Amino acid sequence: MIESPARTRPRRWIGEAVPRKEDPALLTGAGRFIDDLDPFPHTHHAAILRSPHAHARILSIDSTRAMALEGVKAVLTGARVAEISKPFHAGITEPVHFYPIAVDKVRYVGEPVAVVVAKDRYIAEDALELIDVEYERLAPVVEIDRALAADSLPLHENVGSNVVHERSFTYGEVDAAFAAAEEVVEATFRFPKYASTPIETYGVIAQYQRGTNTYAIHANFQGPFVLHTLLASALCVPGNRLRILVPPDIGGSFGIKALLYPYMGLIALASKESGVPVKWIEDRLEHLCASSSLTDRLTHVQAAVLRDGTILALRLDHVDNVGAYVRAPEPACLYRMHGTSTGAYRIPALAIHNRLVTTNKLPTGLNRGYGGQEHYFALERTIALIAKRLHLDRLDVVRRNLVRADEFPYHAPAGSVLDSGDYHTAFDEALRLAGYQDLLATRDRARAQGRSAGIGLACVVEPSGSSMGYITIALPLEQRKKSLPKSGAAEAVTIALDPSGAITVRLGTAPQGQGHQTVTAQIVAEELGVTLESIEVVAEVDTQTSPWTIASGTYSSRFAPIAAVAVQQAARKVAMKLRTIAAQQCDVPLDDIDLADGLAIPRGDRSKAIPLKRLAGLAHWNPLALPSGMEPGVYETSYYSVPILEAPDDLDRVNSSAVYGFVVDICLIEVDRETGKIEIQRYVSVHDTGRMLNPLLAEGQIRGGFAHGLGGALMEEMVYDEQGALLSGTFVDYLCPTAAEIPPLTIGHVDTPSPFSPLGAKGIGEGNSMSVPVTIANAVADALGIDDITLPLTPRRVWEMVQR
Amino acid sequence: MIGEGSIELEDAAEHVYQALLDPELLQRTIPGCRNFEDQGERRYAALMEAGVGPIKGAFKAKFAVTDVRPPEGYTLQVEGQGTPGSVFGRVTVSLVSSAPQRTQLRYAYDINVSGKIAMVGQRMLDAAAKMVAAQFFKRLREELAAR
Amino acid sequence: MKPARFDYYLPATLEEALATLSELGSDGKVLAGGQSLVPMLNMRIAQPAALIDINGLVDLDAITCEHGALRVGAMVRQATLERSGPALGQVPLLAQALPLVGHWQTRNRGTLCGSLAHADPSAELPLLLSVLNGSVEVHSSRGVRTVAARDLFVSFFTTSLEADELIVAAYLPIAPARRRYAFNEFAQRHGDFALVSVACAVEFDEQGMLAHLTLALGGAGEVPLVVEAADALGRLLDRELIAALAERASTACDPPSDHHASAAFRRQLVRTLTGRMLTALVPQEEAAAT
Ligand SMILES: Cc1cc2nc3c(=O)[nH]c(=O)nc-3n(C[C@H](O)[C@H](O)[C@H](O)COP(=O)(O)OP(=O)(O)OC[C@H]3O[C@@H](n4cnc5c(N)ncnc54)[C@H](O)[C@@H]3O)c2cc1C
Repeated sequence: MIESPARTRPRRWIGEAVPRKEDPALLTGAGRFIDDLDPFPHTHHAAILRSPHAHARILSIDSTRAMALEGVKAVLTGARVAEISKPFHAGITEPVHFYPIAVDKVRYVGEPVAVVVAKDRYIAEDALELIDVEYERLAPVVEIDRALAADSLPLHENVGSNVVHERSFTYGEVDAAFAAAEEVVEATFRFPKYASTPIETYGVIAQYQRGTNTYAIHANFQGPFVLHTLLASALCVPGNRLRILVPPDIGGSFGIKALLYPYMGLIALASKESGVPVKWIEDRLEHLCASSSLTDRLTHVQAAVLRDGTILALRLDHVDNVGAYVRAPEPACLYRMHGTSTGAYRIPALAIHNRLVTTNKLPTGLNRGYGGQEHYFALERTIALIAKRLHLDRLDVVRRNLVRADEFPYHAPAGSVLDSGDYHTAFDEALRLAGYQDLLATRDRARAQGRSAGIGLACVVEPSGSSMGYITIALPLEQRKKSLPKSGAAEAVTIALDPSGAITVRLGTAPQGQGHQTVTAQIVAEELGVTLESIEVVAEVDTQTSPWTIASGTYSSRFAPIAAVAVQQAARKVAMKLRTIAAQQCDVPLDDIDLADGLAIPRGDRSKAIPLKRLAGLAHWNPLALPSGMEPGVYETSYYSVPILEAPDDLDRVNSSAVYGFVVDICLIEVDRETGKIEIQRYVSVHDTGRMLNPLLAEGQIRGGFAHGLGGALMEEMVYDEQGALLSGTFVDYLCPTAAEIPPLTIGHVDTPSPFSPLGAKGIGEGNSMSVPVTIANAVADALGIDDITLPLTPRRVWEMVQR
Repeated sequence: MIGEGSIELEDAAEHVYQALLDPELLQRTIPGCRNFEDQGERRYAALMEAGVGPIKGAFKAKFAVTDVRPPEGYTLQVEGQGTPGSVFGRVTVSLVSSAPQRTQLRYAYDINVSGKIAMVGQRMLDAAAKMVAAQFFKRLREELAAR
Repeated sequence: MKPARFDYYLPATLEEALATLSELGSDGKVLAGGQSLVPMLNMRIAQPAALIDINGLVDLDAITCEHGALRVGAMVRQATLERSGPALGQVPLLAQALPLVGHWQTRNRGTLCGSLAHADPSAELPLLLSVLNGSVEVHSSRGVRTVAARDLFVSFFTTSLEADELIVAAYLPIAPARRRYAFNEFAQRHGDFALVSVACAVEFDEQGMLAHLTLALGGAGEVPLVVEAADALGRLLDRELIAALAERASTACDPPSDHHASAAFRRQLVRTLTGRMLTALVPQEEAAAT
């Protein structure tokens, strides 16, 4: 289209490095977090008695002494919870009953056993010490291998086994590929259990409203709001009797606050039982033992390869440990990466055997990178092993197998449609930024001096915008056919202009620090031709009044590919309405109206421009003057779902994510052989983020993901002893990297806008939490010449490896 | 936590063995022991307070003497539960007579703790176990010497 | 994470504090910077019946020089000490050790004397007191006594103080002219309690021979451990002697095991750290010669 010179272009905001709109409030202590809220009068406080045992039968609970304490209002136990609610549903066929509190058995250290409601938290905690519980200890099942053993005591007797889910999949000619292989490279990998540890812990303020049989629950919940449906059914109320309210600010989540929903249920029931509103703010001890974590995983890989390094097929055998229960959205841990199991490589044939086991550990759920770090640890270690076994240069093995730029969109065998990319160029860019030849020279010089240096690399496809249907491939086809197909991933946004023209945007994403308000303002400002400051973005979610979908929330890096598009669509609806009114007022065709500088400008003639304020005023005050058929007011809601996210097909293929980014990491490390300390001397990460919406936020996401990945690589682990006792219950023993432990990071970009997302943007929040653990593992393997690498690479573990 | 230690006693192994089976003596040597109750068949219940420095915990404890091998030793099974968590495990005691009136008492413990103390006290647990064991056997020696 | 109920006393004078302490006996706990005590209270693993807050005793926050030692009052914060030029000049080891104690936020509240009273075997400051051969001035309503480092630390988190006693000041001997010091620790992260730490004081005579050596270890046993090293005096601190001392340090200690580090790994760290620390102290001429 040729634009006439008389047109006015709005200022471009998308892609600008705009500082965060959220920051002034946060940096001056004016944020409004869950613990800052006091929504109900006479709110009481809950404290939770937790199991000291990994596995035990509850013989009796006597709360007489606790009830006698002044200020105690109620004590709620599992037996009562089972009477007044239903277990939560999860996406597997085995009947693993999950209530938010132990009913007859405790199955992990920290599992809720009783809830005390009292006048304040001090009294509530005093009362916990007065509850007498008698337990009979049972044999604990702690490790995956034990859970797989036929004689391990089943955690869930009605299931009869600790293997609670099993499925096999074959894509392409796997057996033929293994027959044709010149070598089979095979290895077993173990990935540890760790979590994301946001600074703000869980928090719930719930009120049961007897008059209407309604639960109102304020919680720093991150979605997905499909869990609203699940929670309503557990609480035995229709969805419109469960009102979830998310506060304006959430102090980080990284996936972990999705698993807040059992506590939302528990505290809601405590309110119902006690007859008062109840507030519960989780403390750090509770958080580290009883919130959520990622799965520890046992993976066995077989790769059929040619001598030149070409990979013909993979066989993947996964055992994921979900801990004591299967909590929705599990078993997503096994299936989020399913469609993308072949990673960044053109591997035509794939077989997968998946098992899920229960053990006496904290149950699992979303965590930044969800399923990715476990998956790539096995896959990218395998790539390194292939090069080593075949005596090939690792770079050659990677280059030979990477999906080529002309193959996009690339249909991976298990169903993911890799939308866009230029993996080879990104790979070369990473080598260039790292100064790969220099790295080699530095490494070899160190080795010549008797020191142990190593280079690690990894290539990671970073899926973003999870489909709502992928988890259903956990069900066999016949089972899946019994219910409606599930597809897509939707988000909803409302934009309103009040009579003065002031713009309010309502999101359903429940952001936790990602900067959604900022990016939303950028998009709306660009579409409506207004300033950023003129836009108010409301991040509070209220399921009774906000627009939302079952997919709503912030997880799977879905804002950029999905929610941002809904924002743009809604803004375009508003723009259309304003332009239509202006066209009528100016008596010009609609196409001749541009929105810029807060004005609707006909044919570039500013003298005839109408301020948006007046157009909005007109829509509110003078509906009769509106074009015929137009509704009054300016209030537009847009729902957007990703078209390419189809339900799983009959061959069990599923495109699990809307778009796919790409990350190449390269690092140089040196191991102090006497202390086991790892020093990261250089770390480079190159990303394909599609079209970047805000470079500052993108960089923040990359650095944050890097820190989380580093934690997993070097120090974070939920350690349980052989009896299932949790040993890492405080930040003295569960070590997260702090600023002092984060080495410099060099970031590069080779961005290819996604053809499948109207904005072209891809998520960027999780790539490095997936890539860093294996990149460092590869470097340590290279430094020590050892194949068997277990994370986290703590000094003790590295020193013990050196001793072997 | 596992650990071991030994003490030298100025007494014959048979005497030491007999003394070790004496509930009265157990009661006096178990650190912070109150409300001791003999439940028969070498099973005992008590309230026990144990700790290191300012850190203290009270437990409802059960003890059972098993695997009796007169005069070579026995195993003391321990199981306790309290607000800071739970403790369970065993202490194996073996006696070796080193001279007519001298006995070496060797002990080996394998104690598990679970719940809050295990979660928050990692850095101190090994130390605490060592200390409680040392206290116990030190008192035992004093008690025996006083007989 | 809310403490159990306790009574709270805020004495205005030392006499009042001592009287309260003697009245309460083992039911009372002194509250100084609170950086060790308050977390224990909040986690309810310590439930003292009463706290005696000594933050109101303004006389106790002086740093002075007395009898050839730096006298550090009980309410002197670690951060104050860290920023005190004269203190660091007179006891140079403070400049090496203090930055390793927790984080600047915890040092803003935490006191030197509180750390000594707490007697955490992994803490830096008890090790500092031990390697300097310092002492503490202890008051009670029964009187005043001085306790040397070697008599203060009894076991894990246990000192020889009686329940009614208060550390009023710590004495850190002023460094002799030729004395040199080093403090070296291995922690998994900046600000963590070290897995092990080592510290030493050395002096070389005109001939470059060892005229003084105190070598001490932290986190490697129940209390800071001073390693016997008298036989090294008069000798050249060469590679052989360093190796022998490092080996001796690693076998002399009895370190604990936990999931961060086995006893064997801690011994290894003691060996390595001791070796590296002593090597760095070898006078330059000698280092060039060997
Ligand atoms: C996050 C964090 C990290 C830390 N890291 C380290 C570290 O790396 N290394 C390290 O050494 N320490 C570390 N600490 C502990 C810190 O150094 C404490 O400040 C110190 O151990 C205690 O000093 P305080 O003044 O805070 O004493 P408090 O906590 O007030 O008291 C500690 C104990 O000493 C007793 N006490 C205090 N003062 C006296 C006195 N004058 N006379 C008699 N008894 C007294 C109290 O009754 C109590 O039992 C850390 C603390 C935190 C919170």
